[in-house]
Amino acid sequence: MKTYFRILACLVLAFLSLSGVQSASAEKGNVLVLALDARDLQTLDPHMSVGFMDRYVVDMIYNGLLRCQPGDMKKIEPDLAKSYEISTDGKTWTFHLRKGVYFHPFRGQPNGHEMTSEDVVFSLKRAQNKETCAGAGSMQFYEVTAIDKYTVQINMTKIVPEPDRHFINYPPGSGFIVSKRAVKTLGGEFKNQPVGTGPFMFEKYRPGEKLTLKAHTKYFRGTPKLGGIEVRYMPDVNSRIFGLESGELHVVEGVREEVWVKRAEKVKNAVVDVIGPGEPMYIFFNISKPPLDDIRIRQAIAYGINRDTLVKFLGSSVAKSTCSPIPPFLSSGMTCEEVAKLGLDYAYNPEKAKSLLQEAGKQKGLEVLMFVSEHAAYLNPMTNLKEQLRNIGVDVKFNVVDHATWHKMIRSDASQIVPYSPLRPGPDVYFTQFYHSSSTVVSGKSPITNFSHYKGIDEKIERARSSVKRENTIMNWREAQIQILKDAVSLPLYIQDFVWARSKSVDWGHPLKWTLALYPQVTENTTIK
Amino acid sequence: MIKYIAKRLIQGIPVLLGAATLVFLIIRVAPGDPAVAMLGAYAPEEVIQAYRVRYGLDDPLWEQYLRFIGGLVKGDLGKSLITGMPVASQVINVLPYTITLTLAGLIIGLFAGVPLGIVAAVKHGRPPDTIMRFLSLTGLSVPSFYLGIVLLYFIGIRLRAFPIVGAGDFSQPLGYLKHLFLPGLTLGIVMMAYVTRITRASMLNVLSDDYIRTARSKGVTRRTLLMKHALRNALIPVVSVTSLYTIILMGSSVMIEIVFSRPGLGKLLLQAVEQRDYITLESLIVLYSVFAITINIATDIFYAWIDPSISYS
Repeated sequence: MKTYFRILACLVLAFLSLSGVQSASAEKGNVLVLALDARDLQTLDPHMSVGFMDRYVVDMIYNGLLRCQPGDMKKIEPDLAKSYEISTDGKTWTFHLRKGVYFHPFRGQPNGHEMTSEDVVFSLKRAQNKETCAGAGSMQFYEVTAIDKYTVQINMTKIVPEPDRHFINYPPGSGFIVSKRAVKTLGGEFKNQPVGTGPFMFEKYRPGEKLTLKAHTKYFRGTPKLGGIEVRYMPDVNSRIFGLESGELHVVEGVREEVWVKRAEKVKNAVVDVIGPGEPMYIFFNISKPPLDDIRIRQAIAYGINRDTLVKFLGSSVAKSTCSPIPPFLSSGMTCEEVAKLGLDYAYNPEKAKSLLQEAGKQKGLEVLMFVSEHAAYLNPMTNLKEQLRNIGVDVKFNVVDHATWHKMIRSDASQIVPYSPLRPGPDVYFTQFYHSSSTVVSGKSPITNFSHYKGIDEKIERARSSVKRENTIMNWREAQIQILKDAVSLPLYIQDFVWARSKSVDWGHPLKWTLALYPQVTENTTIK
Repeated sequence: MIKYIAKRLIQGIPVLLGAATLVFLIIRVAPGDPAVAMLGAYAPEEVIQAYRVRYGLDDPLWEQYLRFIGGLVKGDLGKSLITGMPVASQVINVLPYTITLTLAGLIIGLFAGVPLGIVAAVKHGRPPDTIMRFLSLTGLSVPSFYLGIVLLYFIGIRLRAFPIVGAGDFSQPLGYLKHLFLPGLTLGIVMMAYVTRITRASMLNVLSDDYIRTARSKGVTRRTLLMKHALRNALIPVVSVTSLYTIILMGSSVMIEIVFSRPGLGKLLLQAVEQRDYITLESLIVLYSVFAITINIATDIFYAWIDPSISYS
């Protein structure tokens, strides 16, 4: 027995001598290890990626004709196009493509191939097809042709406001440029084997665990300073923070709550980035079926929700109330004060809520179903909202599912109330995707995210699009918002900033002002010291 | 012996078929429509019906059953309702992680638990026995996920002795073992607690037998008495507990996989439940049944090896 324990002790000592954790930098070399609050990817096809966990990654893999300057969504600059001209009537846009831009290697093309107008035309047409693009409904305003190998012409069949924002690399749809040959060769595999022109290319994928990207040495803006990126799927928030603390992770997706920010700030050698402009959170009512087809019930729910309580719950350093369908940081967006002057802010009034329910014959209360994503940005505040509504007799039944499944469920019209937090590049995209009848989920001509089944402002949306004068466009957008609020088809709640924590050794390579990409963006200039 | 092994394997087939049938019936025949369970009662009828058609849920039950069994026989576990990927490939990806984690817990539990149990029995009533009993009771009482978090914090974060996130890569065995240490130790400590107690109890029982007293009085050395005469008989209950607990260990691994962010079968199962991916869920439950039956058969074979007098004829 003594001999046994001696052998055991030697084994334990031998193992302990192998211990010692290297930091992610030491272990992985020049590879950025980034942990996301997600179980797995859904698709890396940029035209179909609606989940945030996919949107971060497609941003690293793909480019568009244009792009928002990294870290600053207000500045649009050429990306795959080196320049463009707009005709005097605004209807013809001519893009001159960069030469020598290479797609990543893929099966049958071990060295990749040069991007040409053929790929751009293919991509922009693909973005108009509802079978191949989740946002196709908002891309039905142009015809695209190749003039020559490096020139593409887009003819607007309809005038849309801020058309340049439709050609940036922003999911879903918009201006992502994919390889025609790759899509045809890979077929269904394209969603898990992306081929883009971006600074990082797909290397390998282990489902539910991690995705590895490596540097694209032929990237047209220069070889990335990072050797690669390892994206880890880690839905447990404690595991992510522990990984940052132990040095095994460089960057982690945070929880968009002040409590978490304060906790993360205490981690040694870590920095917390809280970035705007943030995502507005709305709840959308399905008005096509009882009981929410009754405006009194929708208004009752609106009056039963205290925005200030939600903001306090999240923390005023990361969230603020919002009252208009278009967030105030975009054109035509209104502040809460402006909406209150119109009497449409639905300021918290539980007595009024109960009286409306009584009028609607629901004095005994009612039940509504809500599919909720398990992601903290949804589950935590919606749990708070659920408890608020219980006080006025509305019992919200939750179906909590993972984020990818939640996206499928709400697009299958399975939820009576849909909480949704979208950041879109401009008001026309918001109106088209969330309020135009053609975008109605399941039954619309080009279903996107009109969860409400709303038809009340199609004309106003079209009029805003066709207005030549900018002030008329903005006026029509304002009117559309007022109508949305009057009809109580959706309720704006708050705007929540993005929260990421990183090791001090990580330098993003660009200033962080406002990001449309929902995360601080990893580019060719990002480094690990 | 070979005849016995073959007989046990053949006996396992109807047991497996029975388990698979039960799983099928529970999921398909239980109240509630799987399509409605997946999509929710509020989804439009055309969406629900399209879902039923796509996954063959509107076919007659006997057809669905034959398709299910036929698939299992061919090794086809169906396709995930969520990812569309074959369940078999998802299982193959994660199975090695669960097996290595379970084995690590088992090895640590047995190699530490059996000797400690023997020491406790031999030093019965004295301080070493008291300490062992206290430690094993603590190990039984502490939930495995809590133990995992404690080890993660003190050893992983404070001491930075072992990695705490992920599972490493099989292509780098040393790195993989480092990633396996803390999760394996967590499961091993709980296993060790069980094994220590049962070994101690079993040894005490055997040590009081007449033949042990006879051997002792004939001058047999203590080492021979313990290792050759007593242990072999005392191991039979230990084997029973080990086999039962290995099955439990595989199930417990889900919490450890979450705490240490490791891939694994348990995590896949939990995901299938949360995503209402009933095809993956069905296939995984059948797989767990296969493991349980295999472990039971292996236990019976092991019994026959350690005690040739055991016979099931």
